[in-house]
Amino acid sequence: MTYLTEHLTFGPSTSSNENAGALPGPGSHLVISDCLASPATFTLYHLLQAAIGRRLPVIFIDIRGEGKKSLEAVLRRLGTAMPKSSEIFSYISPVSFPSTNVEAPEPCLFDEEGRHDLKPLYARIASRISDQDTLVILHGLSDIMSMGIPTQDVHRFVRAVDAAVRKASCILVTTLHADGLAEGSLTNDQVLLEKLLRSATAWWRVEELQSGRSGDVHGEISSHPLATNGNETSVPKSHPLQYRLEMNTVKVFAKGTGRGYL
Amino acid sequence: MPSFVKRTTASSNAPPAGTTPALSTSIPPLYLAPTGIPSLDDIFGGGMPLGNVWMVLTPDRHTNWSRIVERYWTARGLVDGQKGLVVGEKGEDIVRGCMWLDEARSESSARAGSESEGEEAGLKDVSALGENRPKIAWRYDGMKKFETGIGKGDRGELNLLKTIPQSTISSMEKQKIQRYIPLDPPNNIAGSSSLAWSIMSSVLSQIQALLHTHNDSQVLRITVHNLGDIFWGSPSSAQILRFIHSLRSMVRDRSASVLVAMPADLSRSPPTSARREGSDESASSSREWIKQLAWSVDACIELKGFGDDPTLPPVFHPLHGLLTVHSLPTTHHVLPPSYKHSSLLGLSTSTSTAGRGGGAGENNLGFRLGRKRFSVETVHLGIEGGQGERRTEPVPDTSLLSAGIERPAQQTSHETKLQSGQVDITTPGQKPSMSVPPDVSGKSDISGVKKRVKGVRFSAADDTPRDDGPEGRVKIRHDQMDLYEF
Repeated sequence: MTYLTEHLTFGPSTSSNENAGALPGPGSHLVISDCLASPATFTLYHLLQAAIGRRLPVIFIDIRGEGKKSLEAVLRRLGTAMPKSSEIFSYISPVSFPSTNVEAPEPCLFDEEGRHDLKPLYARIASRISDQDTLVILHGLSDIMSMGIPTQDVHRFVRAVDAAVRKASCILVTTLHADGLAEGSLTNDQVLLEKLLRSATAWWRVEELQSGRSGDVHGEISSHPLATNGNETSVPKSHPLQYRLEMNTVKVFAKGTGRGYL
Repeated sequence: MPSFVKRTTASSNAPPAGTTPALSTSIPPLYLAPTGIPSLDDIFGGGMPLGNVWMVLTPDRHTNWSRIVERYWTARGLVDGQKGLVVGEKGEDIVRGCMWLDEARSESSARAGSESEGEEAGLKDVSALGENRPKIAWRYDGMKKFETGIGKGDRGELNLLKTIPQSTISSMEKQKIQRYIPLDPPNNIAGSSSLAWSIMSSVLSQIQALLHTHNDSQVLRITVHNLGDIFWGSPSSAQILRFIHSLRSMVRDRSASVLVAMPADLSRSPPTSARREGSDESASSSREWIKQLAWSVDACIELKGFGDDPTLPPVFHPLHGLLTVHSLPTTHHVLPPSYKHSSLLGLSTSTSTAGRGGGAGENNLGFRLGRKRFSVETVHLGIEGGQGERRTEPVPDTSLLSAGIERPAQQTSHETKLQSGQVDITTPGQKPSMSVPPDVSGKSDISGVKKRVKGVRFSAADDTPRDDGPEGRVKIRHDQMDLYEF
């Protein structure tokens, strides 16, 4: 059980496996949006811990390029060792400039003539999806769009991955930025978010505090089930959970109870 | 054989020269490269992690604060024996103007604290008193001196008064410790690529080739100068962000760090609409552009000088601009190390730094350029709420009085008292009252008003030396703010 399990569950935990409710059900699609001052990486760490704890295969597509070593170090801090086998933990870091590394070439988002091409990335993901209940994480969809790839193409790519994931009864998690969501401005990120929410089963919305950075509270998170038969925990935006990142864990608490009192 | 055997560290795991291990233990190990500015290292939680890309935005058109940060970044690497690479037009000029070590730094000047020479002089006086220093309340006696900055760091301080010797530059260039990548457009522009992307891909290819042969036991510091300006072929926002993404993936997990300096216009808004590609960029606003830039790198700060607004320097004296932290490095960490270790940010929740914030909101930060160094400090209003000089009475309007012009009827009570010339002076023994007759004829004797009585300064224009001896000190009476005690 990790720091978010008791607050944001996707169903009851069983006595045999306490991480059972920490992950969405097979064939579901969880969208996570975040803000610059409150990145949602801590939610990914929670999902990764839950999947590794249940010995589920993981495909982590690091579009943002935060690095495998960093991920390994963070998971170790949180008390979980990253599986060594690439069959269980598959790390894909697409590049935007053709790599000269011939030993382990990563899929490139652009072809040699500079045109965007998401097919190699999709092919790599599809080739790794084999087992049931595989956790597929697309981390950083906004970064693809910021490099000039149109929203429609990114949405088409996500729909293709989603279809492959549903077909194999796996779990899809996508992250993107939604900085202007509170302001109501219509950016590419917001357009993609709206499109994704039409087919997603749940949405975790991570936002910063309106008052700016704080040492006690690092942000707020609300959960919005989107599927009609979903049994996810609902945390409305009006009463969000607050969290505080610490060196080796994350504290999640009700609004205004950061230090254990109102 | 004993039960416990100390594991010897392999030589291959030794930190690269000029780096320090991260302040919190990390497996795999994380090493930090100092930026050259100790106060900026404090904000980043000890330095810039290797494999990271950080960005400096300087939206002020009239100054070029990013250049001094670039020079600190480059000079620090050269001092520590690291390799350097400057990408951009006239990169040699950046290196030639680098500051250098102050070898003759005295021990006394190594003391941490504010750079203000006036403040330091005053503190020296107090410390020199030793046992004879005045007694103050016990609860304040052991209190640490109020500081707006941090110490100068353990490493040799780079001094702005020193410039890197030309012989040193020549030697480093000859040994290929310091290299440059100029922005020459390639002869053959492939396919549908624009000029800007051709330049960028040429730069990326050269960096990739350099990293391919780079030994990770030595740190490579890359400085990208004015990314996206006219010398880069005026790229679109998508091309700029793609360049950064490519650069980031190249240096990730390598012993290299990159500083990207943005020009003033691109630090404020995205490239102009004429340069944009596709309709998706039309919705880009300035705020979204800054957010995109901050997301694209590991750490992003903004140095906004006061050059655009001449009213700000006196308000924020002695600062030269404000610093905004858009994003902080989080490599190998759940919590950004800056939150825990930075004194300047003031976000630490530990009790030891409670005085710096104690988990409350973020401090406002500014920067200043002294004679010897550039530093980041917290922004504070003065004791008097931002007024550098306290005026105890309004300056008489001599021009109006001498011209015989009557004051308007609507006056405050304070002004009325001054017009009547009534000044109450209290002494320990008596409360004399000096009365200056009001100017009825309109021919007021200003010199008489300026007349100095027992250390009382009646006018700001009084240029006679002030007697602030034990008898001449003026205090404000708290019961009546317009009376003064001597």
